[in-house]
Amino acid sequence: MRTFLFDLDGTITKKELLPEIGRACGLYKEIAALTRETIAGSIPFHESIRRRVDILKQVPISTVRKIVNSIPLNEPLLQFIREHRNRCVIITGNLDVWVKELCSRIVDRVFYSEAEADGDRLIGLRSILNKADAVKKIKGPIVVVGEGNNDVGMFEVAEVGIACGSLHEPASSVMERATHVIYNDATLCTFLKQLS
Amino acid sequence: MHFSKTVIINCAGTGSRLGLGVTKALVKIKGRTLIDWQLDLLEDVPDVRIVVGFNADQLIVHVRKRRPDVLFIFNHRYMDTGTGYSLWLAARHCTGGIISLDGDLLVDPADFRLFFALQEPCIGISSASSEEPLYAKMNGDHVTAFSFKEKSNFEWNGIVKTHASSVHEERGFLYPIIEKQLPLRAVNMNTCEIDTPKDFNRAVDWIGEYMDKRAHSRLGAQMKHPSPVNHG
Repeated sequence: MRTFLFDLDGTITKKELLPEIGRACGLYKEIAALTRETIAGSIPFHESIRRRVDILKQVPISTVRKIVNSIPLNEPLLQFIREHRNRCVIITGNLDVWVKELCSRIVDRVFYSEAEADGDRLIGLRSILNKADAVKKIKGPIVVVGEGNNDVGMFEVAEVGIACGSLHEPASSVMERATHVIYNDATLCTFLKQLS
Repeated sequence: MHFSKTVIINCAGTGSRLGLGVTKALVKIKGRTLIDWQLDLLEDVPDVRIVVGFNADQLIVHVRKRRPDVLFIFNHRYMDTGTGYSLWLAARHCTGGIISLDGDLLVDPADFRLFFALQEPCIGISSASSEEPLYAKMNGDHVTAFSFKEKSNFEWNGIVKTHASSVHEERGFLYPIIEKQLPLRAVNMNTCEIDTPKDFNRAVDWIGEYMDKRAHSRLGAQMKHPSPVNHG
């Protein structure tokens, strides 16, 4: 039986989270530029998340969480996940303290990067998720849905790797390893149902 | 369940025999790309899947402008595999009936509609006219065998309707996959395959004739049902 692995930003969410957090806190330009380069793969993910966290340290965790919880989600995809919840996993490089609440509402199993926090204050990073390592913990055949350069490790071991282009162009490194590319939410969900 | 719900177009190849430097799907005939002529056939088909390889980026951009709902399948090994492999990549994650169409084929829309509507496995044949035909040996209205040597009035035009589960892994051509499923009901179709520069010239004429025919039938319909004329 296949397990379905989803990236969070730009796949389940209809907007990239960090630029939206930046926008709400007056830091949009810096964060958006970093995010663009990260998706494309011109900055390594671990370096990018470190820099983005440094910029967003000044924002209380509760404020970020509130912004995250207000981001529009890919409703057709959520419907699929609800119907197959026990076989769906979210793998995100984002911080647990920011996205745990959102992810826990969607699935039971999530892999995150881990933050160090002092109450409502973000201090730094405890661990940065390596998606290629995380995916090794999943047994059996997997279907991966993602689009950013940091998803490549998952695509390399997936039976089915779907580059999701509904929000923006998937990274070229993802396109080189994907078995499929889909730009339409309804098509994605129909295909996922066939794979389930 | 409707048998023909999924149409797969195999467009991964390099089109080296045609020698134009782009995948054949992007070759322009009478000002429109081959894939545009094919997508005309599929306007009412909800599930269209295209196998891409050579020039994948350009082809995807082109198709998405018109059909953003298409599912693209990558054949990353397009340099050392054939259409059989492309179809297998697409079919292995399909359920039910599929129609496979080569990306280098022009098809008369009326014939395609008839083919699409049939609720059983079947195969498209055309009068043998391409430069390198795969002849279809007929018995009544069924194709019973393929041959490159044994001549027949008909050739397989590359179109087939089958069950996704009947498509086994094949690295090279498509016909060994379909050969195992013969006999199949044959549907005679007006088509034009583009493999070589000579085929290309023939395709230009074919499209010209088709456009003339369409213009004539439109004119005929207008004469039967004239548009309201303002005599005021």
